[in-house]
Amino acid sequence: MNPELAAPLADFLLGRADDELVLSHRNSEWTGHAPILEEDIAFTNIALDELGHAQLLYGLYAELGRDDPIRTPDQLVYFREAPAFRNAQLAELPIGDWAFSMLRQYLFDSIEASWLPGLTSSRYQPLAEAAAKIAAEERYHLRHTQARVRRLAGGTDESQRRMQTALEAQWPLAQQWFAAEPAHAQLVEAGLIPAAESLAPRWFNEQVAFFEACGLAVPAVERHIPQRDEHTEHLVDLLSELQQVARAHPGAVW
Amino acid sequence: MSEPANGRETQDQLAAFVARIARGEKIEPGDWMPDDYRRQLIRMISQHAHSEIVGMLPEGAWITRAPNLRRKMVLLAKVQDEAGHGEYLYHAAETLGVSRQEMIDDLLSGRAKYSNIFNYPTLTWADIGVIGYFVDGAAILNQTMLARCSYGPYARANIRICAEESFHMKQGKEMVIRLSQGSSEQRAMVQDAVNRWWWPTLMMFGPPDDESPNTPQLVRWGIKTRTNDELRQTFINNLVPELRAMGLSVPDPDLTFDEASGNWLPGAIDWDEFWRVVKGDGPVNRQRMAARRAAHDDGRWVRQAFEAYAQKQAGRQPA
Amino acid sequence: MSDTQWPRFYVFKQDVPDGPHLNCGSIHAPDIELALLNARDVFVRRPACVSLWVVPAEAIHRNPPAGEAEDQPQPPDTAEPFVVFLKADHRQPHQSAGEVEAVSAEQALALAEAERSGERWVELWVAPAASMLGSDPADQAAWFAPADDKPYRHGSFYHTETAMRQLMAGGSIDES
Repeated sequence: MNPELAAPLADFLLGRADDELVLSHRNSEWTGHAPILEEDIAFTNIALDELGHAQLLYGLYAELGRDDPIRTPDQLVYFREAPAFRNAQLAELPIGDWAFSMLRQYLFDSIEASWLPGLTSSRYQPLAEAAAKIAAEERYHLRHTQARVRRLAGGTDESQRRMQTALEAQWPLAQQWFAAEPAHAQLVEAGLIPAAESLAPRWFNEQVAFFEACGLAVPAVERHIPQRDEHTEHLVDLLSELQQVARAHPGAVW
Repeated sequence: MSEPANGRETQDQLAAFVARIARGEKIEPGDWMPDDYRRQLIRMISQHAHSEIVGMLPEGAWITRAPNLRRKMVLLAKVQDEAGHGEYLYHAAETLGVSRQEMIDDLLSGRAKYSNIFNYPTLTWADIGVIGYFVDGAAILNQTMLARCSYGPYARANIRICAEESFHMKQGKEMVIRLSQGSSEQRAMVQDAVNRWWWPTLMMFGPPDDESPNTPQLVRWGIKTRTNDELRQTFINNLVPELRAMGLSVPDPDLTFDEASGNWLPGAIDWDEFWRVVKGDGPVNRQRMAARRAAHDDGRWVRQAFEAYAQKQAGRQPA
Repeated sequence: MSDTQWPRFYVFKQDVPDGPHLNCGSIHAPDIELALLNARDVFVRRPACVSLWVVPAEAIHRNPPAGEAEDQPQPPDTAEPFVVFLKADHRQPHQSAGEVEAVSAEQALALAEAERSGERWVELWVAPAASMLGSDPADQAAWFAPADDKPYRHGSFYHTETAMRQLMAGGSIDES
């Protein structure tokens, strides 16, 4: 691989790793509090899988040999400040109600389903292998979350109302994954990642069709789509909990 | 020895039942069983199931603060297992004729009990290690015994649980070892956790044998094969040398080693505390129940939505 | 159904290709698709599964009969396949034992019994194949293989015994 591509590729991987970590963390806030035992087991399983994905992707980032003092997966997770995180903004929002969390996970699963085929044929072999592993688990996640979204959208008036509210809040933010990032153009050219613009139309149309079939109205996207270095205070709250014990004892072995 | 018979059960039926158990046969759903056997088992199994579910709360709270990725994943996997164990146990109880709905209602109303140990709070990260090492360690001793119990579905549920539980204890023990050998702050943290969890764990094995009137009958019925005091002593003998090797102290100034029996003999257990906590006046009983009730109430609209969808799919009007 | 009393589904797990599906327990779910998904999370957290079936409890007819007369729907005119499950003795779980074609559950039970007149069994179940849902073989990698990738679910992943031996011998632990 052309050494000049290491930095933008690392940046791409960090964004995806941060997505998985932040989402997993949010999902794990439901453990012990889900609407019923079966949902608790299932959603905790998804959180566990996503954390594994994060670890895999942070590992790829570390392998690219950056010179930063903060480089290993644990260092990246526990010792960066909020501005240094590269997750998409939707991931860091608070868990809301069950409809909010189910929809968010569904959108993420559908976005991964869109990106992963291109990533599994990346010319950067470690990424291709990681993507293949992730894709196997994601297939199950998508089946799971799609089944829940369908049921909540088509359940009672109340559940539909909650899903509609969630969709209105989340749909514009979901577009962030398909906004072209100029820094990634060279990665696309080198066959390391697929082009966001090429994936966008199909994903968009599939999702609109799915939501309309569920009886939900897809809102117009009229707000600014954030960049990966644009975060909310929710991320600060999340990190202060996530990093609390590790930061209280820097250098300690756990 | 003959069993006391109530009006419906004949001496012959009871004798035949006890003989089956003495032969090592498993009692399966649908087999004849004394009413008292069924009742005791429903109580024990549902209490066991509730313990797994409520037990998710003290540990689940620290997933978000686990100090490295490995610990975070391990804790997620452990708590997920506990939910799964609750499932296996509810299923085993259902084979005796009680419904899931009844069991949940009993838990949320406070009629049903769960293991007292989960009425204690997790105050530091070190508590998570100690819970795995002590509480899961104690549970393994109990569940290993129950894996041989006379009621088939409960025995099989415990076999499956034991297989999965081994990592629960080991991950906790690994953490306690690490902390005990770590920085002075980590050592202090884990010693403090040991001091708080030692006595409640000893109480997990139940009241002393001379205050456990059920035990002889449970032994005759093949549900218990070891008494509370026997299990408790095994636990103490296992843990004390290990804690001392780690440089940790046991919070029992009266603990002595008895050469003749090879047992570490504990000081007096405060059974007043035990009964107080059993009756609902422990450190966090109210918070535990509030959390379970909140999850149940807040989740009602979700359960109703799933039911409404299923009924629409089946072509019936939603209730 | 009521708030937490969802219909029950029996779960059967096939541990090896060409092996029988064995009853590993039951779960509750509002519908059969969620039953299959939930069964995977409850029963397949560790490896050794290639296929999963869920069968609604109400679709199972048993011999010897459960004791209560069940409302029998009008038998269809045409035969349909019924999956047979057999419990060899008290210690074994029910396991899948082929299929029979029958116009009703009663006939299916009678046929299954006749086919097995020489065998030892304590209970037979039959359920219409159409009432069941099984995992898609194409999903095997996605649904079951990932359990292999989580070594931390096994006790052997933790080196507590080595560490304990070192500490008991008065040494310090090896941090590797």
